[in-house]
Amino acid sequence: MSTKVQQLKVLARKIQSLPTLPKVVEKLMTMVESPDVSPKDIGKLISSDQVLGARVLKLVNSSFYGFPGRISSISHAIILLGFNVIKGVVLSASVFDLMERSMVGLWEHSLGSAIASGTISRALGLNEPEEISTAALLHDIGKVLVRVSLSADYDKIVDVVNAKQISFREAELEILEVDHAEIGLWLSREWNLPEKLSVPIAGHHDPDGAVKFKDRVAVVHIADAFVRACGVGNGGDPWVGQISRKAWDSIGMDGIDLPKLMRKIMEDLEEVEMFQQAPTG
Amino acid sequence: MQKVPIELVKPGMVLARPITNEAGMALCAEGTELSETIIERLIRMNVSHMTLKGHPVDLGGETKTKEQKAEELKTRFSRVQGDPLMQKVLSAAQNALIELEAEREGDNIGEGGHP
Repeated sequence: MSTKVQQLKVLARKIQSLPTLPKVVEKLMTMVESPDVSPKDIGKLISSDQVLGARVLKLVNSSFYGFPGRISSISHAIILLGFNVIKGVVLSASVFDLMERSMVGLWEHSLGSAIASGTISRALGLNEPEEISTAALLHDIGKVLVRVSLSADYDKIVDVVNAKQISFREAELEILEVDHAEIGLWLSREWNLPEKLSVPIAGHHDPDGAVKFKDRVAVVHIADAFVRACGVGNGGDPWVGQISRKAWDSIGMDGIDLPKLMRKIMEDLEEVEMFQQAPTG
Repeated sequence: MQKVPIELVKPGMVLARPITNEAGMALCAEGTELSETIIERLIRMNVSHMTLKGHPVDLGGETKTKEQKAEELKTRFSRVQGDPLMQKVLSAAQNALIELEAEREGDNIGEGGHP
């Protein structure tokens, strides 16, 4: 454990600077901590950056939040979805801006995981499916950091994946000694993300190790595998990983009609492709 | 269902998915039969693609066959072979793939029904 901490410290030093977030996002992160901030204030702030505003609206209007095409303003979105979701969506809208250009496959994998998580959560009747989707949207954020801030290591990892035919995570452990889940956790702390988001980010490869928010971690873990199963996007390697039986049982996955669920997810995932084709998008 | 660039869309074709603007708001509902006027309006709104019912346009042979898709699906599960839970997930995905492909084919003939 302690070697991991040390390795993260080494990485943190190597990383010099985090991917720069737009000023608006930084402001937002401090603003949402304040108890007397209103949805209107936040809506105003986000809309002051037009590109970001449009991206956020596009995300909240996608089907994984359950109000497709019906949310007309950011303040409306905040009232419907809550601050945690908006915070996560704003973060992904700005961080993944980097990805949409250079890592389309990972962006699609992330969007797909958000969609699948929403569908699984609703099928199981879990609370706050929107927040679970948002955690899934951000679950591989550590990979973005590796790509952006440790690009030489990133190239090495990709080479190892191809040469040894191992998973991206196994290659990360070989090259960096920590994986993107660990890096994602570190990043979510730097960015003050709520635990409801950071715990699933940290635990999506080790759902049995989760102490808190076990349900959410399990859903993101399973959604990750389902999206890979459907062949949507690119999580760094082409394989479906082993789903933890314990996580599967803990949220009662056997209680739902799996073929029906999988069909719904596969159908829903067509939206990922649609996402790229809105006008000017 | 087929994704088609707007240049190839003709009046009478039907939307299989809503068209949304950059903020994700619906501009044109699913099921709309496109007319000359609507298509012109969409061009003015810079809409580049849309998803249509059936398979109205021949875009050339870049689409994968269902056999190819099934083969790729199996390959993606190659690292978790033999695990009963993953076998169950694979079967569900195979089922879903077959059903959706069948639906697409039915769509193409214009029946839209299940076999």
